[in-house]
Amino acid sequence: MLDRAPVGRPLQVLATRCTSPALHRRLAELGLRPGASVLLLARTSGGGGLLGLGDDRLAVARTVLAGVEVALATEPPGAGAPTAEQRPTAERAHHG
Amino acid sequence: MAERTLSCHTEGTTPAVAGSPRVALVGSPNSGKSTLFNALTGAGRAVGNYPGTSVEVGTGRWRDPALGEVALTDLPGAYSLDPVSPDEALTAELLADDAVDAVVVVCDAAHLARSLVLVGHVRQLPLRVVVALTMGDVAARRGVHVDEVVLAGRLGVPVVRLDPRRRDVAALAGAVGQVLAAPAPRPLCLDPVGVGPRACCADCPPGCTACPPTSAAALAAQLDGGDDDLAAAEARFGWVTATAAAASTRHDRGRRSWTDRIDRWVTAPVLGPLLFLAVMWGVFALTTSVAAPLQEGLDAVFAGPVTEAAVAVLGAVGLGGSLVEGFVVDGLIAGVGMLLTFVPLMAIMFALLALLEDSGYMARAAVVTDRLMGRLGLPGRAFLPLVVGFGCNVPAISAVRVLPDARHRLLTALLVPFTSCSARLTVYVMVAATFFPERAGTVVFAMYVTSIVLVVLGGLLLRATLIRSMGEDPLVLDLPPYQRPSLRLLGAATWMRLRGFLQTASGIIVVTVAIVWALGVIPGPGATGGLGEVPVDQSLYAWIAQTAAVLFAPTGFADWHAVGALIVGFVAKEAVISSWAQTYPAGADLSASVFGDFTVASGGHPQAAALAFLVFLLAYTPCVATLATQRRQIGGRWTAAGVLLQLAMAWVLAVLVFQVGAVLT
Repeated sequence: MLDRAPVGRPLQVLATRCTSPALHRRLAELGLRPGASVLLLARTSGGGGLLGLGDDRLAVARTVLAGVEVALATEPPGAGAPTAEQRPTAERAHHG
Repeated sequence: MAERTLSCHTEGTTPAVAGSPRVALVGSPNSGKSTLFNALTGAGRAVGNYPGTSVEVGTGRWRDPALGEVALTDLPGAYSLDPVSPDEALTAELLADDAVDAVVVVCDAAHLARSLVLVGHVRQLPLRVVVALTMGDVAARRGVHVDEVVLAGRLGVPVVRLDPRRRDVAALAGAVGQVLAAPAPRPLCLDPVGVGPRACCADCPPGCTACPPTSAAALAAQLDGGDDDLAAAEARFGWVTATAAAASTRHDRGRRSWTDRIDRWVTAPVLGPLLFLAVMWGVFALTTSVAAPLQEGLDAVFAGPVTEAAVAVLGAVGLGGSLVEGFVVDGLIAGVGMLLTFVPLMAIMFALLALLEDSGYMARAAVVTDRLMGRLGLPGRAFLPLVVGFGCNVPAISAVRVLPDARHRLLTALLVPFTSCSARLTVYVMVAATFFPERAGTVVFAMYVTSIVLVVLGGLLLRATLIRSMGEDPLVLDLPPYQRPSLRLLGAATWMRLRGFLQTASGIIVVTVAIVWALGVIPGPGATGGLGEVPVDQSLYAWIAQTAAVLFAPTGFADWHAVGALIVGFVAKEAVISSWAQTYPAGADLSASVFGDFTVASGGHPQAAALAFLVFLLAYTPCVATLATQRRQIGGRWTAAGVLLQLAMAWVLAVLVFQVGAVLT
């Protein structure tokens, strides 16, 4: 899960699991959706993190990070979520 | 043309000529929408480099030589038409109501994919649309280029590149004129593999999930309900990704920006909160130290030449020694003049806060306080309305609409009055300079720290008593890049807030000065003089204040001058200093008089009494305007409960501070 992922390593979102459908939708609208490339840029107060999604930056709480399943990406992060056809085969993160 | 007008929750209205075309501005938060609105209309809507600056609908007139007059509406920022908070719901509702003739979707070129989510939703409605591409300079610095021709081809609507921060907005009029002259384009089929707008649904396969709904109401229902199935969402996001990829190119892929480097320090678990405290201390220390000599200079002008000139003029027209002279000299000049001496102080503080907002730091402040807010059951985003409260509590309570959860909105609206608005600053500075001349800046900063402590204490108290259950809304905050603040925007933001302060001074304050002056010349029970002749300490004003002062005996400041000022402060905190000054003879040294009265009232512990007074001033009800806004937002019963809480906390804390302080001093 993203809360235990390494800082600064390119990752790929495999799935998002949120208790609230509204939060799930909002994360998707902000670019955090399956297939997206993501970087955990830094950890913040309270266990949350700063995420890099292309050029976008999101600050999210630890509980949100804990609901995002990621894998180490084989390519550097791109400018947005790739389409299903473009998704690379991902190696599961040891930390996830 | 649609007949319905946008009327709910509007602010800053400037009616346009009847029959003018109605154009709405929509855009994701922090896309530069309100900056564009201000550039087009000359209005002064609040702008800031953090999400959730606009929570109200703003209206204004946009006059263009070619286009004529347009009724322009600035809708609250929204990431999509699938709302998660009341401000977003308002935007979705107003667009679905077909109340506008055209929509300008402000699209952030530096965050194209994110902006396209909203663009896609709007293009599924039967509306005339123009896409205004902003933040091109930010995108260029990142090596990102957005091709507006390709984007226009994909969207099937005009796309114009603007720079509202530099007032480069001329291209918009032609594009809006073009769409107003034509029928609304067909809603867009959000087909991820398509190369342009498709004549929906003529060539779509049966069951195409990318097709738009047949009406605005159907889109709202689809987004709101279970009909918006996974396939439709996949198609929509696929379209966003494909469109962003087709319309933009980048050159310096993967380079880490200086925003990221700064954020590593500014939002770090330990260093972030410490930096936040240091920044806030710097703001208030700088404000008080720079403003002090300016304030003294203005005070000397009002107490000297202005008062002398007024006396001379009134004497020349035969009004010397009359009630009119008393009103002008003891009322207007002593009261309003005293308040005006705080203008440099307010201007410096407003400018520094605008600097923090425009630079993008305030959004980081919400991140570092998330943990603290979490202890209260509030999301980090709740910090943004609370930050607004440090300027003025009234817009802060309106700003709770950025919070999706009703219980979060309720709790935040009840806590906003504990944030120390700028009007209270005038009193802090006067009292701190009087009782703690060597450490005035530190005392003022301590009041702001106390304000944060009060928010926490109030929150814990409410969570333990009235608001036990609380929804979950974990922090998800879009962080804008840092930017070099624009001097013009800083000046505009500072002036807008200063103007609000001066409008209050010229409205409510003049009225309260007049009322206080009138009560000060009416004899109280047992007075020895008649109307206009009675000493102020035997006036009706003094009698009312002395009666109330009994309640303040344990606080150490049971002096009628101070208690009278607090009573007036219930109307507006800007009136505290003016009414306080009015109760002393013209020309008297206010600081020396207050110090003497506090020394007597406290039994020789004036500093402890002064601190108790400051704490009471901070914790009790800010002003009647705040109560009116609270009532509109959370209802009369919760507002009344809030007032009781504020008064109880203010009194208990003031007693504690004085009793402990008296033992220590």
